[in-house]
Amino acid sequence: MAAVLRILLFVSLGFSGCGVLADETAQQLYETYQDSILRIEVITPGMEKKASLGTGFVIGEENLVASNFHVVSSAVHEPDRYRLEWSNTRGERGQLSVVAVDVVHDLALLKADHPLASPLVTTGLPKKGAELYSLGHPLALDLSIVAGTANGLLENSIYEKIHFSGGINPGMSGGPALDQEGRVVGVNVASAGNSVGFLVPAHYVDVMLMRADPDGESPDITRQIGEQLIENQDRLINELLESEWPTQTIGKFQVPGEVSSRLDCWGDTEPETDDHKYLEVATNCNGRDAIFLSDRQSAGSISHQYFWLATDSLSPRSFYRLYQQHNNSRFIGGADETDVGNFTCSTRFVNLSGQSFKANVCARPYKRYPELTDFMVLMAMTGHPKQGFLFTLDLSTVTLENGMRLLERFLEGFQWIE
Amino acid sequence: MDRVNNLETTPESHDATVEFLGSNEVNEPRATAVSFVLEVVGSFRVRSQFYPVDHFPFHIGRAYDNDLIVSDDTVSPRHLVVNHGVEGLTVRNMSRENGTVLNDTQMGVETQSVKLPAKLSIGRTQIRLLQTTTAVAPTKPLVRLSRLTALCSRLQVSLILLFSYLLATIYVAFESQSLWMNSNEVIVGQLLELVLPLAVATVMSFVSHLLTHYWRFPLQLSIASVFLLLQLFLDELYSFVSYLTTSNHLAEMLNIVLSVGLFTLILAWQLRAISHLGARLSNTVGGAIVSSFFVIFVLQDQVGRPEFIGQPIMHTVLRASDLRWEDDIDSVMSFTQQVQRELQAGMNE
Repeated sequence: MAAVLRILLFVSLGFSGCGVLADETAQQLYETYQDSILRIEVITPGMEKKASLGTGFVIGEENLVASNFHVVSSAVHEPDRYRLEWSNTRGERGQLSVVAVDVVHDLALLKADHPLASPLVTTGLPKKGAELYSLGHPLALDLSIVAGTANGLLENSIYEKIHFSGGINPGMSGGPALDQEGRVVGVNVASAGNSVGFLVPAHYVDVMLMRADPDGESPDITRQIGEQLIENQDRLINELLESEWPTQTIGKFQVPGEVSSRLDCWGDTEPETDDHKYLEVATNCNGRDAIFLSDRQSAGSISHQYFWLATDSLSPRSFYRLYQQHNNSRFIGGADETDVGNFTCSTRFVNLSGQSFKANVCARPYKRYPELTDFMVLMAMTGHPKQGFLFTLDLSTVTLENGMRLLERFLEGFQWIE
Repeated sequence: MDRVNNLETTPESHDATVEFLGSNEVNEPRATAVSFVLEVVGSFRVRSQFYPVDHFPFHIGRAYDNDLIVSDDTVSPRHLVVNHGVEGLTVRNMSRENGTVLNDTQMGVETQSVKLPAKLSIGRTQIRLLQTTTAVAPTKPLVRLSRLTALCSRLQVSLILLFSYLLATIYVAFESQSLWMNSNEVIVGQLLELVLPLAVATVMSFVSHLLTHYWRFPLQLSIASVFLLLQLFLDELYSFVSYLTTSNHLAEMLNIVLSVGLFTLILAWQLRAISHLGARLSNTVGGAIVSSFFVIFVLQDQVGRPEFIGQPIMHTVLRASDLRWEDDIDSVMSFTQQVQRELQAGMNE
């Protein structure tokens, strides 16, 4: 039950080989911009070995580098354990520090202590079908260029991403995708395999550059992340609450349906038969993507589920044994005690449209980002010996107040149909 | 062996009229003839045997012409002679194989005078020479079976209890089937649970026979069946109380108290069944054993409990009867406000 696995796999980009296109444009782009594209390594001090790596590119100023947040997140969360280094195709190396992040769009702005190369320039969204060239260090190999096609923004995605049809691989994260003129249209961020890749639109890099203060003293990146997460969940929940919600009927309940086009909804019915002695109707909706916070934790995920269970042939005791087995929920994610506190739960009975529900509402606080919580709801209709109705709502990285506001809106939409 | 006078002091066989062996009042005629009593010391399984010795020399060994024939292959055919002369009581070791140990000292092949009481080891066999005036232990009262134990010792009652357990197990098994499964599959799936009381009763009967010389199989079957039945009942009670009070803690506390009580009760009952302990002592011993385990479990739970738990602990019990103390909150807004307050308070802690 509960949340569903995300399709997008951060960092883990594709499996195809590094394809240096034997194409004049690709050759020209590579020749012209190779110095502006850097390998970003996360180094373990003492051992002086790389713990992970990605790609970055010079942007804005000659000593500023854009990459993905997920490439540098270890160094952000554990600065004592990790530091960042760049290297270029000529084998030069140097140190980097993080000056700004856009955690929602998985971007980070890094600063070197001396000029590196000419900055690249950004451009707007490419047209569908436009040729793009993605650069990076696939599987920690030398700098490679991969040709592909732009396929517009992903539909129904919570966070904007360009669909890039081209083979991008682990290690290319944070590398630029250039158009034929060599302008950055997006930043490599994720892949679903089989040459389905995703880019962060380049205008988010511009926004991050504008907000950043590269010459300021030791920016508080954790605070920046916290503020961005709060702002993002406020926007997301407000958008949801302000929109009209369609309804759907499940068993004898009319309930909110696909509350946002950015959710991916599924449903199935298993009728009651001699072999399967109860009717089961299940629907679930999940956010299509989430925000990378760390290898253990993602933010901004949202999912809700409904189950209708009914039987003619089972006795009430048998039915409730089964119903109780369904009445559970697990929170998806590997956050540990350094990230979050324990869950606190409240169990109350509430009357919704004349029906009693046993409601478990749980939340756990984030340790780095005050006010934010993981929020879970599990509700089960009671009082009907042969019918049951379950509702779950899982939100990660919301304030308790926003979680409760969204829950309230859901519950107000429950209507019992005789 | 017609001279053997078995005077062991176990309650079942004790002759209540004999208070003191060889006392002048009770056994006066024999007291003049008997010089001492020879005890072949018993083991865990074999009771001690007592032989009043009324003639000398008294030969002990494995050969058939001895006065006391000891069937112990570490004893020599002619091992020991006990005599009585002017110098008093003497013993002479004649065994050159394993010899004789008198009061923890190895004897040579010689005559040695002894004072009563004396302890002799011939091979593996222990012998004690006792004065006829030695007091025997006071008579123990017969341990009477309680009414419940007497009832449960009847085969019909134990079979009724077993049958009740089997029915309850099969009922629970069928109740858990929400997908179709034929009766044979369900019953075969429960075979282990069904055989359990019989297996436990058989093992405990062996223990009972070992310790008390009585099999008491019906009683053991009753105890096993009652224990398993009560466990099923406890499961049901836990679910009932948990839902009634909407509290994991309260139900768990009750479950612990009842489980400790049940285990103490059954253990004390079992101790009485396989020993001669009285009710008070068996309850005390049972309670002490169960409490020790309980304390260890609680300690281990406290020490081993992780500080961080990645999943919420929800109250997920549901019951068709919907019997509970907590009323519904009628408005969604009051519900969310109340829950928000509780969660905020919980997280602030």
